Amino acid sequence: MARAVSGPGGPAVRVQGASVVRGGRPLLDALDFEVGDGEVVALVGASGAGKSTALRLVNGLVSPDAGRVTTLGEDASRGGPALRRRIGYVAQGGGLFPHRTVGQNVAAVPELLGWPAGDIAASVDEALASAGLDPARFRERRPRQLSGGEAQRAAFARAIAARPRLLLLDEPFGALDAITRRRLQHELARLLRDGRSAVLVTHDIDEAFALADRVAVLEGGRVAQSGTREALTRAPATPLVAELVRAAVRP
Amino acid sequence: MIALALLAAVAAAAPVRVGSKDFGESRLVAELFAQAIEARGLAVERRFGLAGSELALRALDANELDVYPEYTGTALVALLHSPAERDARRVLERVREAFAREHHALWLAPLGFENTWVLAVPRALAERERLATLTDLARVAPRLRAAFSPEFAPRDDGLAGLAREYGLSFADVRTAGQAVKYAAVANGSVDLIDAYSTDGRLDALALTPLADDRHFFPPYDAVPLVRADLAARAPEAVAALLALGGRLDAARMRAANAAVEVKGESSAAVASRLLSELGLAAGPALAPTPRLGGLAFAWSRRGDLARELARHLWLTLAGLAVALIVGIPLGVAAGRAGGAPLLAGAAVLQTVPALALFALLVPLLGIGAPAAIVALFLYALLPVMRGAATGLESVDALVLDAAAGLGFTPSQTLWRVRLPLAVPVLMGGVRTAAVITVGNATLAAFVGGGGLGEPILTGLTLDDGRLILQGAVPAALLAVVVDALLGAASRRLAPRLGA
Repeated sequence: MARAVSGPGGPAVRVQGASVVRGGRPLLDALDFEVGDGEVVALVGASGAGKSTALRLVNGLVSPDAGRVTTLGEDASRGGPALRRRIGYVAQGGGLFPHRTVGQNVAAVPELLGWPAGDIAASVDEALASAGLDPARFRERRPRQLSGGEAQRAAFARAIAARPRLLLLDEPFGALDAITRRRLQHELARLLRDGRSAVLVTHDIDEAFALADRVAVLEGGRVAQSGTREALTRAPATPLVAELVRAAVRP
Repeated sequence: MIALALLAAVAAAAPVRVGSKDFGESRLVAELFAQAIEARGLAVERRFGLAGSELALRALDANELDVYPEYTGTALVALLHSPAERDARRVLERVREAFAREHHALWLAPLGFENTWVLAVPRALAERERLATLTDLARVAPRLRAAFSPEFAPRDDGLAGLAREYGLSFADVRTAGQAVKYAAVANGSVDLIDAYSTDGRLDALALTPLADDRHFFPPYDAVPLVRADLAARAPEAVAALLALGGRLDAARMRAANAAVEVKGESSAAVASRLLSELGLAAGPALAPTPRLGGLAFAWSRRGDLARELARHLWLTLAGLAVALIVGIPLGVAAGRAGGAPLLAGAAVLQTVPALALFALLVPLLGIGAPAAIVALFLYALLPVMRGAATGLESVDALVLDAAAGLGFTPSQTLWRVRLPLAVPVLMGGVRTAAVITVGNATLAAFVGGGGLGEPILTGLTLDDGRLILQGAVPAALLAVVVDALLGAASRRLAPRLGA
């Protein structure tokens, strides 16, 4: 493990025995996981395993029917929009607002937080640059005018503009071609290396191993096994984990 | 005391509201009433063209009208639902007594002519088949095609009772409005129509009225029907109407009707001439108006047209504005979980025939602009709601997920993301609503709301195509212009999405 599991501020995320039932069917069944301060955790699993629901538990968009979720020290189901503004969020496919320029998209959270205009402009330029987009070139563009990779970078920039301690990423590279994907994974790894905690939802085990300190495999609404690549490879707890680990191609 | 005096002064200053039903003679007689009252120095507000006796009486009851011309037989059978009565004096006594009691309305002095219903056939047919009476007609009726006005067909004092009395049955019976009916008998597509006995077109179209030899039709004496409170409020107006009593005989009335319906003179000019013939005019009679062709005619009534157009635009904008204010929030609500019944409700409203909706609102809101605006609003509601609901639904779910995840509140998401992105679809609904509203606003005239429907309605009752076009063409152009303006507005409002 590259970094400490628990820093001075306590864990960024703690999910304890969280169950979510929709229409009589359990989506999550007594889920437990923790993200330490500065730790990057990937949630991996087949479609329907509950990855996206688990992510929405963390930012409070889904409330658990049983159990408890604490995010950045707050009860997530009571945190509301104020809590979510403290968390960077990258939606599937980016989810940029098509009617706003790239600059306006990136400024969204600082604006919600009521930052002074000068601070907003500075944070937008800083975030765009961190995400690998030249502010002067991209600030005034519309999302439709961006390539897939550029749109994804803009979505990263939007997520980090208000300098959150925690990032949530929902299949961030879902729609990208393999080359762009590889390149962006590098960028993301760099962004994640500056002390932020993050939860990354992905179905791609290679991506999970490449970016995360720890991988939690979800199966049937609970964590089948959680650990580093080495731990999962050495002693896979279930046939699914074994299969996933075998499928990982990249060293 | 001072307040009472003030009230009296205000009441005295209020114009006398003269109404008419939607056929030529009713308009002409109402115009005569109006000018007779104006000749005594009182202000008059004309509310002509109300669709039928029931609507006119309701307007009188609702204090929307002070006077309109009514016929005793119509009142007895169609308004009081009493069995027909054949003695003219008895009929007048009975309606006087019943209207005083139930409607606080007075039947003043009969004007002197009776406008009873007749069945008329082309003169050639009458001669060939030797038809002079309705008894004669019964013999050949099974071979004849008939067209009757919608008022006539179902009434016990109309076709239903008449057919029983004489044993009439026809090869084919259709329902058609005044103008259409005359056109149909003139071009030979029907053999028989109902008509008013004082209708000027009977002579002009060479139609033979058949005698009611068994005296089936009750007397239809024309009488000013006034609100009882008018006598206290404007005694001079009542005096003016009383002075017309017994002065108009059937021949004079038929000639006056012919002047309007056949020669195309204006009701105002003919009424003015009648008044001076009767020695009741305040000033010199208007000269007979020559019949003008298309554009010259349009130019001659440009003042009216401008007023009607402005009124139409105002009705349209008012109805549409209310539809936007109510429809967009309802559309937002309809897009939420469990909101579907809202759209279903608006869709049901849309299925009510427009004219019926206008008429249904009259007892609630009276005649005039309010009823018209509410009806227009109800009709514009569905396209606006559906546009809003569909527009909001069309917004990409991942964009909404991003907004929620970034910490937008639901209302921030609505105002900053969903509504701006819904604008193109929403404006599509608004444009549809606007075009529908411009068209429907022509129906406002049927409930006294004015607008471009007024020349259409008058044209229909007077069988004057020029007048119909004067309403229809500007209404169509207005629809095109409104649609284009909203199209431009939509492009300005639509979110800029880049290439």
